[in-house]
Amino acid sequence: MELENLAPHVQEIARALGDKLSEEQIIEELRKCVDEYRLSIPMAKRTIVKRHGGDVSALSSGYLRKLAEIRPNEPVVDFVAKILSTNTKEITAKGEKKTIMFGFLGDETTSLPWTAWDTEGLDLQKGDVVSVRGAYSREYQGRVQINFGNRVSIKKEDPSTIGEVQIAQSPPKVVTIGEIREGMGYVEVKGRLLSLDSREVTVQGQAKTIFSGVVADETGKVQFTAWSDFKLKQGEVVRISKATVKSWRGIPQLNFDERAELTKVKEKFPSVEELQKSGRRMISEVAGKGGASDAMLEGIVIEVRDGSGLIMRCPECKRALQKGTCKVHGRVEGYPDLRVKAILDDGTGAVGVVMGRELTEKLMDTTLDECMGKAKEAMNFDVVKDMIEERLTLKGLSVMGNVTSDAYGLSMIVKEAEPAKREVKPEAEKLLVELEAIE
Amino acid sequence: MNQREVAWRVFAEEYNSSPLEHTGEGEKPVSYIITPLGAKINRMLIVGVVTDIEEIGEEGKPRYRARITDPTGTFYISAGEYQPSAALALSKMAPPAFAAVVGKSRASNT
Repeated sequence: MELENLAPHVQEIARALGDKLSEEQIIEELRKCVDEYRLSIPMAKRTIVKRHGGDVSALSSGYLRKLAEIRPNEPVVDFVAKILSTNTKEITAKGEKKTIMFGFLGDETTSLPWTAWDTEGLDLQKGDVVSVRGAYSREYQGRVQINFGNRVSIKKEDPSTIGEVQIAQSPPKVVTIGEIREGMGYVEVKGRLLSLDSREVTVQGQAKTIFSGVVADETGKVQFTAWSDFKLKQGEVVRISKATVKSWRGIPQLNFDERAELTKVKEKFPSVEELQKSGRRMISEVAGKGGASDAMLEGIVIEVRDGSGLIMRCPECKRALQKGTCKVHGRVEGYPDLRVKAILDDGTGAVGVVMGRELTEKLMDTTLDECMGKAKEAMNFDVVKDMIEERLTLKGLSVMGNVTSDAYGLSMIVKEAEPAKREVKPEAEKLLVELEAIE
Repeated sequence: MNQREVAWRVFAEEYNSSPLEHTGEGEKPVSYIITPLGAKINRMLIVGVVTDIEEIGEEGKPRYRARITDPTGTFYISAGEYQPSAALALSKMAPPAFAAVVGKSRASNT
């Protein structure tokens, strides 16, 4: 670091130390700390002052930094900033309920998220300008975060000292669609719009048209919702910047509004057809994400579960009846339906699959009426489940649909299903080549 | 999230030379077989030829024991009143026959 930049710090150290060190000695020590040991300036100052028995608290008054200079994992940071937003949240830490506050704060250089872990006596309002001493910084999702711990002191300043500050955002993370996860912050993706729908919603009392659909690249598909009209067209390739990711029952979804930047991309990109039949995925991979939209899975049916086969449904709410009784509507005259509930396992993981009448009829090569006939003949509904078991258990099945997750693991409402076609010889040869490559 | 145990695909030789059994703790301990290649098996999926089926159940409590052979060795399986569909399948099967079997691993000291 240049000598002149050090000068204010040297003076500060000298003040804190009295005449214990000469200016030259301070410069030498400071250089050693900063250039050789790569300490941050505030850390270096504290270290020097502490070692020579000075008063550390005398230090921090002088050196206030701009937010853009703050690095992650600094134990002590001092700055003046404007509180841009405040929120409170109840959390449970170490079995105890407590309230924390969080939001954004900013100065003219940037804005950063902040969190106060101890809110007792803390009164921060949006628009306050505060001088903060003894906060610390962490990194969260690639971004510096300011934390107010138990050593912090916060003093309100004249709010006019810092003018309007926009919440600056860290640049969006460029990711492939397959990499999208909840909690990524802003992302930038490139993909082709496979489908597009619009619908009217009411947002804060105002009618608004939102657009939703599926966008895909070679690595996967993701559902999106656009909260303002970008004049999107189905089939085109776009780059979406500053979108956010939210999860719905484990499936990551992309959201963006007028703050996002959308550009049309004119470069070679896989066609709609190629992207539609995006390849088969391993269940472990989907499990790692907690879900997937329009995933294609292939495995072996290792169990046909109870509740499969011929069932009666409530005419009011379509719930499956248990012994002729609906959970909500009591004893009702049900109507018949067919379904399969099964466990599909591909050796990397397992997923519960549910298939409705149409798919059941297709896979079983039968119809509901035919099943009704068989059940009547046998005077027993269970024959249909037995047929399904016979036909599907331990057979390969390839399915496509949305995978969601809950406390019982992964499940898929299947949109398309067919018996898995396996070509043993080419697959075996491919495996052999792969194994030889490992050797 | 409660992860369902994966059905491990395994050959007889690997399974049979497994040196370790690991039993968890708690109310419903889960038992695992650790194979030499490092698979931690509770549920498994095997394929082979059924070479022998024996009925060992008592009156009213059917139980079948069978041998399944693959090119590397032999598995011993059994199915009883708590595995009705597997027991039913074995009752109808005439060796030799190809079979795929999904079940839980168990170690025995015989």
